Amino acid sequence: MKEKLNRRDFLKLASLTGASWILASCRPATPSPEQAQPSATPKPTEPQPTPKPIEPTQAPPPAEPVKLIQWDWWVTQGPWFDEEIQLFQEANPGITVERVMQREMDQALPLAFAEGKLPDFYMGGPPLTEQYNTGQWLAYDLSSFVDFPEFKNSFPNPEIDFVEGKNVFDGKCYTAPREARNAWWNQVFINLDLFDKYGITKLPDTDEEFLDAARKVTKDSGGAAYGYANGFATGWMNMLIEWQGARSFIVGGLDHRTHEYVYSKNPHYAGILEMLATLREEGLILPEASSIDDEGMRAMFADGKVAMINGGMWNVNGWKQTHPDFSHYTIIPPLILGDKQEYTYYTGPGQTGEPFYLGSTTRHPNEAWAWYKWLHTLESGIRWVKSGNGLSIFPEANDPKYITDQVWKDYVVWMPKLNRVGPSPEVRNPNTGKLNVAGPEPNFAAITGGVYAGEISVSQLPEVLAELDRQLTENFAIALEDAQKAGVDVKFEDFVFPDWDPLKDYITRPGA
Amino acid sequence: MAVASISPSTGGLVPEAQPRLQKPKLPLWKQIISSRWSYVFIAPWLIGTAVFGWYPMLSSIRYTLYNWTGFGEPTQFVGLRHFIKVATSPIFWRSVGNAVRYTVVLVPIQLSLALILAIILNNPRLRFSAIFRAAFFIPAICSVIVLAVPVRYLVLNLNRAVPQVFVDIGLFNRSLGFLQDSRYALSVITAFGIWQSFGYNLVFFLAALQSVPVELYEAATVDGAGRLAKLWHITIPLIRPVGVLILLLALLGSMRVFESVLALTDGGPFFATEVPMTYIYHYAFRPVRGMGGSINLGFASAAALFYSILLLGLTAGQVIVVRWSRARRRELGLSQ
Repeated sequence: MKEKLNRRDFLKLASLTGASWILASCRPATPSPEQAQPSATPKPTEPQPTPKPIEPTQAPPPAEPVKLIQWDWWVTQGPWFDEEIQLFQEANPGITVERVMQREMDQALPLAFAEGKLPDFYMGGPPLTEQYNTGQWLAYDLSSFVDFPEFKNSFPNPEIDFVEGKNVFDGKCYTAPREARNAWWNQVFINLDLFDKYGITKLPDTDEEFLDAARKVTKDSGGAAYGYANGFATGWMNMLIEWQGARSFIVGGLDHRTHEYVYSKNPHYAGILEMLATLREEGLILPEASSIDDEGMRAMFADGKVAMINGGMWNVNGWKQTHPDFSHYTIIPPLILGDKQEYTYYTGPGQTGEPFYLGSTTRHPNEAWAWYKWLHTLESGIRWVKSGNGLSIFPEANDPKYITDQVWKDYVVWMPKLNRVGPSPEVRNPNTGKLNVAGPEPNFAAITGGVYAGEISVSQLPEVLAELDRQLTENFAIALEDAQKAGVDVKFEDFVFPDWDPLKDYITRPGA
Repeated sequence: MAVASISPSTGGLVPEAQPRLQKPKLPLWKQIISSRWSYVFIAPWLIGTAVFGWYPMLSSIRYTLYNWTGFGEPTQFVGLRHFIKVATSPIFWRSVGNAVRYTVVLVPIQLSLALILAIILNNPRLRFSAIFRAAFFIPAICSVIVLAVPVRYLVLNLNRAVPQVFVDIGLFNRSLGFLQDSRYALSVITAFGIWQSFGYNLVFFLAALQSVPVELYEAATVDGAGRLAKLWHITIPLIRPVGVLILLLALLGSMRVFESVLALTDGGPFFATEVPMTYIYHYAFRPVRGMGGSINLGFASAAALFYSILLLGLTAGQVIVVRWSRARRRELGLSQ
């Protein structure tokens, strides 16, 4: 018969177990400054004091080798980063830059900040307005560097490139623009092999032409190819709708002239949703579209399975990596649903594209600043354009001689014609950024998905869009009232721009 | 001195039962001291539960009264607005309805399947029963996400395999497939749920079956009882208390389904498979998809608390039923 465990042995066993658990949970005595992943339980921390900046614009060789940690999530743009890092390191011996892939910036950055372990350089994260409202600055004050005025004046339009309420707060600047002032980078890509094969000679310009092209490809191919697809699993179903109808309605549904939501008043919102419903009802959408992500859809497009997809200009480099022989494609501007163009894409002053920041707790501010400046030079901008990832804030870098892809050459020609600087309440009154507006339930992206899935019929659209407008209006009113009750100096008129012409640039003046 | 009485049935003397000598009851503090080592050994787990369970739960009650993105401290007090919004949100109640539909279908099928297989596997003469047991239990111990992702692609690939006749009569839409069609999406998730988690209940039923005394079956055989009679009159009554507990755990677990929905459909299409846990998750971490404009942990906390209160009713029912099942086992003379 087995002996029972006596109490003494039980206590010994329990003690051993507990001791090993305690040892296993012990933290290292000296945490590594390169540690990328923060712990799950954040602790409050004191902000690091701003060190005295050096005078020269170039970082002198540091006494000891410095490794800068950079958090980003770029994949197709990654080679550009790698090239810049290599060139920077050659020009700045003693400084190395290490990229760390981080896809959850919104969660990871606040946790890292709470532990005082922000990366030296990062992208994304909580918006600057939120950092300003909470007084918790993840981003480093760039204007604290002695050579910041020289840096600022190197930009083509300092007046709109550095704007209070956008990338400058209380006179301090936290990020600089790097990409061209284009609002949206997403368009419809056309597989010209399929268009040629099925005799489509005219590129679609309206929703009807788009549908006709999709029908031709789907029917004439007998199911071997389909007219349209989107990487729906990526969650970008609204890409076709909101971004491709931008010449016929205002993306976001807000008319800045009256600060009125017009999803139900402008018939083109419903019009493009009807187009989506038609694509689905007639079986013109690739069957796998509903569950394949953006990268999978890109591959199917290059493989000739679908004639038209939505995507960003990052697709170009994506195909260079996965389908280097595939080049017979082009892009088209947003569709026109009415009889003429009424709107454009709108961008605002201040930062553009994906902004970069220095971490406010960086232990190597001067070296990080040198890296930051490097990425915001004309030369880096030229390499950015040459890499096919986008356009530069410096117009000289957007010269067609730097662009090898025909698609990019076309893009450079017509895209600037479709972008305008739109009204900016934050510039007029920075306090407008303190409103916390709740979103509608469901929002326009969800409604798009509902139409696609057949959950919302075309006949229900007027009612659904009217409810959307109602919720948006009500939520804004509540947010405004809450802010005013909290003592914020903001009023409804700060959001109204009656003199705005949607087809022209609008430069908002502070306090005007 | 013992006192005897006359038995009415036999006429014989029956001694009265001796009063049992009772120990004097100790004060509470002495009872605690006498059991101190028990408290010492449960202390680590108690502390862990308090730090990682109770503290976050109680903290989140405060956040329900604020708009908060999770960054910095919450400053925008909104009172009970979030609770009102949750209580009047059609999408929240649709998610509750989806969870109920999921539960109502999954639980009976899963428990029946688990019980039947447990009865089969309980047969000592069944060869390779250990292999079958392991095979059925493996999905239950795997990560739900790890299982759901390949299942998702398997279901996707069925799009083109569906015969055209079903497409022509409108039963199937190739552009939507099974996971983007609200007629089928929840069914796919339910089927996945049945397969993935029935192994747990199988093991519980197996344990319950093995606690039934074999002599009862032997006695029933002697009395000429068949298999169905044994099942109905012996097996089911004796495993009923455990079965009820399993049922209630299955109900609670199903109402909190999350990973499979997230991995297979993310609550789509258009909230057709949205369940309360994904509703809360979307407000807390992924607002862009279909609701809201930005992360709002305050609202997500309110929705979580609201739903917890709803489930509390179910838990209260569980407590009552467990007490009943214990009383029943006492009546049957079985151990607790």
